[in-house]
Amino acid sequence: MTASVAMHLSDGVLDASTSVLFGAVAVAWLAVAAARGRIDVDDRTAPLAGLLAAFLFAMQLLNFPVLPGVSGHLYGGALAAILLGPWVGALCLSVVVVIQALLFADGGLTALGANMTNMALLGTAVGFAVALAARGLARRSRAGLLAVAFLAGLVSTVAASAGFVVEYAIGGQADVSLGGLAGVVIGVHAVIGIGEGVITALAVGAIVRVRPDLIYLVRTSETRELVAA
Amino acid sequence: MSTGRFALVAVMVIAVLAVGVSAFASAAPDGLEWALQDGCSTASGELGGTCPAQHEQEHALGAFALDGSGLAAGAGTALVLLLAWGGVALMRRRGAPE
Repeated sequence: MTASVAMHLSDGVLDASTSVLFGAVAVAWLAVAAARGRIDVDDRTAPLAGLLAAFLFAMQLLNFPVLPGVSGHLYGGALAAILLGPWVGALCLSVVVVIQALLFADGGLTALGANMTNMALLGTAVGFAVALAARGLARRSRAGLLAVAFLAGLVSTVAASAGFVVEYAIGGQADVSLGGLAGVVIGVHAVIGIGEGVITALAVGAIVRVRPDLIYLVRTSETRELVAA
Repeated sequence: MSTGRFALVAVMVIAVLAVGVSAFASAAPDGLEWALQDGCSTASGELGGTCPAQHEQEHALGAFALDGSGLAAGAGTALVLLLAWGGVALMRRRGAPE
């Protein structure tokens, strides 16, 4: 069972001022996402956002082993960005992180801003940036799309973990070597990112087979060609 | 595949993941928690040494927290689905041209 296993950052690891700072960052980013995301919303978006949020919530409960005594779980930033775009994707993942913190005690209340910044905002933004940079490859073939999904998943996970390192550099409470902490945090998330990339590619691959029009990243008339590929 | 059929299949897959499969998830600490304990020893049952995890505090709502498995996981999943769907639908309505 995972109920007693904290998966997101707890209260107390960051000092109060840093927690407030990243709470403000999260709120500001969400406000921009809500405003900018409107142009990405069509009739398909709301049902897909609901289903994707539910999928991410369920998948974050499914910790998979990555090293002896260490597990990882899907973060979902790249998947949300590829399916919904960076703005609606960030909002969708934010719902997941907030409900986890409020109802499941997963992620501290004062750490909510930091958790949202890392997972819902940074992970989504970086995942989308990687996918956008490689969109030509994603549109070329189904294999290309899956490769891009894998890469976006991997990089977004490492980016989210790097976000925590930055937060800790600003306001970490323990007197530890920042370089050492960065190496451990980013190193283990590079391994978790492989799992993230695989799951992201599998999910995108399953959807592109049946509803390629739902994939924001490649949502053009060319999408139809992927079905026949 | 129609939108309705896609949604039905997706809900079934999500329900199996949330309610059925989550019980088999790894109980080991996740990567972040493991990294935060780096530098500490748990041999005595408490964190000895120096590591970020020593500063972790109990969750303020921990006494009321739902278990992350079984029916609670299913309920949480359903709640997230409704909130995200409803929230984006509201964006659609507010963003619609007059």
